[in-house]
Amino acid sequence: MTVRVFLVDDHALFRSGVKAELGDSVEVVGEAGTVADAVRGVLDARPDVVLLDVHLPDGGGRAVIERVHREWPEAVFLALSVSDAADDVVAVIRAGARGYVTKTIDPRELVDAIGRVHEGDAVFSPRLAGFVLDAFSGQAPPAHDPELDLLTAREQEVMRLIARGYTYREAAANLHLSVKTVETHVSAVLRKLQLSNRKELTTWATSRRLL
Amino acid sequence: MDTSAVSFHRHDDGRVVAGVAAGFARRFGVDVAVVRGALVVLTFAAGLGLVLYAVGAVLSKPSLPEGDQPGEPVEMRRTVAVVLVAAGLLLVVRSTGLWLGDAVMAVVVVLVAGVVVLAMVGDEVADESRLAAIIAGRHARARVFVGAGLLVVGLVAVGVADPVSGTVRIGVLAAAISIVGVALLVGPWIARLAQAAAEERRQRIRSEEREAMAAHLHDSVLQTLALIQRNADDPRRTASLARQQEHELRAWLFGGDAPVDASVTAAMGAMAREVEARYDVRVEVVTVGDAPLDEALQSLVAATREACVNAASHSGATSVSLYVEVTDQAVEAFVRDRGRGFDPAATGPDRRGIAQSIVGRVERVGGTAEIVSSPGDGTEVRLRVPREVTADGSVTP
Repeated sequence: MTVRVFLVDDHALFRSGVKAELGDSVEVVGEAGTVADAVRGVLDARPDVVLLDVHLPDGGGRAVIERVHREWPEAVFLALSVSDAADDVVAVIRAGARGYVTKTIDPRELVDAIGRVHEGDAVFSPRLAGFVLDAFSGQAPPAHDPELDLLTAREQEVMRLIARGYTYREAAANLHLSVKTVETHVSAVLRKLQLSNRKELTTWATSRRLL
Repeated sequence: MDTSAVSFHRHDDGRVVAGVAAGFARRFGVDVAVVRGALVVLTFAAGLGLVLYAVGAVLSKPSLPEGDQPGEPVEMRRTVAVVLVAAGLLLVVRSTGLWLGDAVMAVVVVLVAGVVVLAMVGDEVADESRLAAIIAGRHARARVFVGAGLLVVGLVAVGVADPVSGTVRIGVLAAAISIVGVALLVGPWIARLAQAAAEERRQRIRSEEREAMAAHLHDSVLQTLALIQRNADDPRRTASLARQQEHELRAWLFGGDAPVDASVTAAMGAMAREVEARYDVRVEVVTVGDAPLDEALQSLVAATREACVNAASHSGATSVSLYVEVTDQAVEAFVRDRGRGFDPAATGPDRRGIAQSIVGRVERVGGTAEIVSSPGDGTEVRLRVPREVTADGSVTP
């Protein structure tokens, strides 16, 4: 069964480009260019995965996630962006997206990423992995839940390999782990990214623009 | 230009009678309204104001053509000086017999002061295009309130104070009512004028922004699009042009990494863009942490560039991943491609030479380099320069 995908991007040209690239490997069940259309369309079509542009007029991808999740908490979002600004990306992840990839991603990798979030895994592009390492580096603030405020040594290793451009499979081979274990680590990091109260996450994200 | 202390030129442009007050105000950097107010007040003190005006008219020289007028910018200090001199003169006159009485003079002083403060606003309003700015200004608004307040106090004093005769009272009130009437008549017109001026200013700013943007887009984006049209049959060249333009436009729109101080991430980013532009390859840069760029780290950047260029020209891959991590202990750079790879054990002399230019560079500054590759699996170059070494700046081989 092919994955049913909904496209949200304010550029029609980009939407048709992605549609052409995805070809038959997924079924595009709808598309939208504004926050309001996206919320309505997603709730109507109930797709497996929503491909969501981080930057949308009136509210951005974050607004779409928040409004859809209010009515349909199970919706799955994969953020797609040209944005290199860390605060935008982290905001969408913290709103509930299951992953973030850049628009320059290879079509095959995009299909792969869609399948991965559909199966409940997290998808980190090298850039997001870099953001995570940056945000969680340094001393954790005292008193708060250390479970959420620190990456384990393993998680850090996995993030570093992903930041270096390794696929999950390559990272697994490098660390002598199974792919499933790598996926578990990535999902754990996603959870920390979404739930951590770590002050650095916000201050760092707003104070920095990488590349 | 005449700079002697006492002499000044009368000023035709701003004159009411002979331009003496205007000339004096201009020469000594005082608001003309203050000078006139002082003269009016002193006129009530035994006609001293008229005497001073006459003396000024005799001492001053004829008006000069516009542009040759020596002048000083208006300064608060000088205004205060003029007011103090006037007050002093008032006290002198008060001690002679020619005094109208404290109550009358107090009312006169307050009224004139109110008019003067209002007039100081009025002077600036003369230029229509600046009207909006002046009305919007906090300073101007404060002056309007102070002036109006002083006038009201004066008028109330005229109405209440004993020594003022009935005729004077009616005359002053009539004048006040006329002024209010004029304000009501002219007020809306002035308000419209102010709005129009503000709107015009906004329009001008907007059109200037549009012009700047149009100029920039023409210089960059349109030129690139023309080049792309001409190179439409060469996909790699087209992609490279588009990529270069994307970076430029992004830097322009988001102010991206304009002139950052010399730091490792800035240098790596600049290096990656340069390689992209020159070798038709996408370099995905991910950086964690940052450090100032010293000599050793410059070598690291150079070695990393060499690795990227290698990947671009030999691997056949269309994109290269560059990961740079700065920790307290070391700066590490990883260059990864998914190209054809090679067997590091069985490389030709040219390959070894290139490897030397990477490995040698890093080892000379106390770092380590490792090249991991196998045919079909792509290549990863791992570079590491410890920061203890880079911290003291002087590295011996």
